[in-house]
Amino acid sequence: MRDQFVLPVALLMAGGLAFGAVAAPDKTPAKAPATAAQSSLTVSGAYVPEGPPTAKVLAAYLTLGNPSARAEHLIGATSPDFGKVEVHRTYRQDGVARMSKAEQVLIPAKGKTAFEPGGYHFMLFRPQRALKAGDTVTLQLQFRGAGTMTVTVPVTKRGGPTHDHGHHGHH
Amino acid sequence: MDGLGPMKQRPFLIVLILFGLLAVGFGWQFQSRQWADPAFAHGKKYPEPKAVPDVVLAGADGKPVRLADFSGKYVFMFFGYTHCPDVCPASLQNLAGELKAMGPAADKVQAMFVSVDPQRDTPAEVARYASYFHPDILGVTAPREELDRLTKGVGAYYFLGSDAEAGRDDYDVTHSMSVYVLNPKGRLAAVYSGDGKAGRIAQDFAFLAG
Repeated sequence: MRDQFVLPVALLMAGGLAFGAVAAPDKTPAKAPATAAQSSLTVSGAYVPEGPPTAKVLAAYLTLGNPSARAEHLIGATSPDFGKVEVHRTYRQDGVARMSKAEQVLIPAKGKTAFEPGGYHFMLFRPQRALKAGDTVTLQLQFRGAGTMTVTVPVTKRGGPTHDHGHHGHH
Repeated sequence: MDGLGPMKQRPFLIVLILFGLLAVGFGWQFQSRQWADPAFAHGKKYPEPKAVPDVVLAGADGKPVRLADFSGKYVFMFFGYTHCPDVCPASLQNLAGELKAMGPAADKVQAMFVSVDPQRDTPAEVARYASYFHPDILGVTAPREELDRLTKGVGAYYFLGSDAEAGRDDYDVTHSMSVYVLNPKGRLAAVYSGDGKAGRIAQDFAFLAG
């Protein structure tokens, strides 16, 4: 498992905005918008569990950290490797699993938000090619007022029943 | 006079404590009755296994699969759909883990993934999807009426997201995540909640028959 794999974060600060600020014919010193300059979100433990070769939907999991003093909001994601990406949340209640689309997800100031099995996850619709363990996919995460972040996410093998080897073995 | 206040409250307090103890006692009794069989620790076992309608499902190539075809075997049944990215793959991986944990006893078991989304899942797709997790997990689906009879029969629940009715393709399906265990007579013998680790059914299995 490469769960612990910490990815370098490529924060493309509000590309257009930053570029606009530099290219503006304005005489004032070029200054990146404060919102983008201050955000320093981190991504860790990103992975996409391999699915059946014919799977039409996969999930991506990761943890977003926000060391800054200002709350951030994930408002969407896209990927060149999938037809569509949505953020969903699984709710489990009385033995029933329900999913609902999340329009935005808070990453609290000085805190983190985990996207993990049974909770928030990125729903990756219609893989553009068959994906298997060892491949990587690209996710572009969109944040309100803080630009987009490009993340390279490894596809990992589903790790069988790795837990609890202490079972009694009856025969 | 101030000292009288707490004194007056004392009988009330005692009654409250007695009630508390009584409540704990009842709770413990309820609990111990539910887990009467200490060897059967993980699932909910039916003291009287419950009859389940003999539905006709569609296996790979649309070949009809009757539940009765599996009499003589235990059936581990999980309901879901293949466009399910989070819960179903994890549950199917757990189901595969159960089969592995059972070792040779797995020969007495037919694990089954029943898609409750025949609108999008063809029988061939469900079969392929299920076998990815373990070659012995049989992926099936069925027409809506048969699915409804089966889910009602075992006490499972599902419904399609509103987008399904609107004709959109990317809808969610809400569904039970339990594993339903039918005994070799085709009766519902036990139910396992879907949010535990693999190996629970395997551990209980020796005591299921008893």
